[in-house]
Amino acid sequence: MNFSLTGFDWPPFIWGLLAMAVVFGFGLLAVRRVSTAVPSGSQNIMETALETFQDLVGQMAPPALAPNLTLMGLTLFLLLVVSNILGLLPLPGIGARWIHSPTAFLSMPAGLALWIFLLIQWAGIKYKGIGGFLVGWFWKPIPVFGFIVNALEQLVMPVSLAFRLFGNILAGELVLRMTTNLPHGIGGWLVTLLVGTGWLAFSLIISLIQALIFTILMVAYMSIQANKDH
Amino acid sequence: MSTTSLTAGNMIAAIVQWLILLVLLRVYVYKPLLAAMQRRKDNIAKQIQDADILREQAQKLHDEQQALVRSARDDAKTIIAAARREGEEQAKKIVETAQREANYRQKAALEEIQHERDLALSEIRGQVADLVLMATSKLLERDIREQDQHHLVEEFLAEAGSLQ
Repeated sequence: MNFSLTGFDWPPFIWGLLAMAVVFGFGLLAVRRVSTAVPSGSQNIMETALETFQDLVGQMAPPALAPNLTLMGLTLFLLLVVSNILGLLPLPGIGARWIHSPTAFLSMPAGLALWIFLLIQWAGIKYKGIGGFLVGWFWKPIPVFGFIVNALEQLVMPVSLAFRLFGNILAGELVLRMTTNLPHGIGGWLVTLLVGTGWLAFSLIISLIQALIFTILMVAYMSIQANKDH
Repeated sequence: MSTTSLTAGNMIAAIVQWLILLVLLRVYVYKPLLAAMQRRKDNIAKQIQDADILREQAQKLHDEQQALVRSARDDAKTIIAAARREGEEQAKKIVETAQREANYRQKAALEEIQHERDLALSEIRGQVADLVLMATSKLLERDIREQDQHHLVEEFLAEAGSLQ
């Protein structure tokens, strides 16, 4: 792992644009002919997703924050799901880089986690007031030294968020590639067929679950900050 | 560069991609979708409300009709009872009238019979008196004023009648 201020990796950016386009395209498809009667097809899928997130966020977040957090969470979830699944599709590589999921590049989940970290601080200031926010950071659970505990907790949060997603998706994509790059011969393609297909199904589920975990944790962290009694 | 490289540019790009997608979806997808969902909710609420109102009206109409039917039935009952009572009274009246008429006729007939009988009797008495007068005047050949004799005979006959 190395950090670069000036470097830029094009493949995750381009795959990210593709994921955006897919999500936005599906969204446009869903509202192409908006029906106020019984919805069907893509509109039904989109409405179900929206309602599921409304319920999910509504259980955690205070009413003032819930509508915006719902849309933010749903957008993040859709972007991550499509990003994760991109790695499982038979797409051409960019140059010598054959990893497709933008989430399999550490920079993307890390960037999102950093933004979520900043959002949480903003939510803390907004809903607890600057005084309550500072007390939360420096005075709890014990005066002065509470800062050490809180700093650890607050730093571990985005790091674990980023690495959990990144690791799962990268591993999924790497193992999938391994099953397709076995030596030729009767055993090779049989293993590819059985193990590869099984792994593909497993990775598909992991793609959904990891996107959901990332999103739900974001919603939960934001809700904890916005609920005054915490 | 590998997939584990952290580059500031890519991190910012990921954030910007998320935010741009959020803005695009909000404007072009979420807004119309939420509006449609709200409209559907409103429609359903309105339909339920309408159905409630209609049901209430139907219930009211049903009650009114029930009351009408009940009152009509009561009316019919009273009308029938009144008609029966009237009929009975009329029948009684008719019978009474008939009875009275019959009584009257009977009485009249009896009176007439009595009258006729009296008439007949008096006539007979007259004739008998005349006959007796003639007979006695012929027998006695006495010159008696006809009227006095007639009077005497009548008295005699009346006495004879009361003795009967």
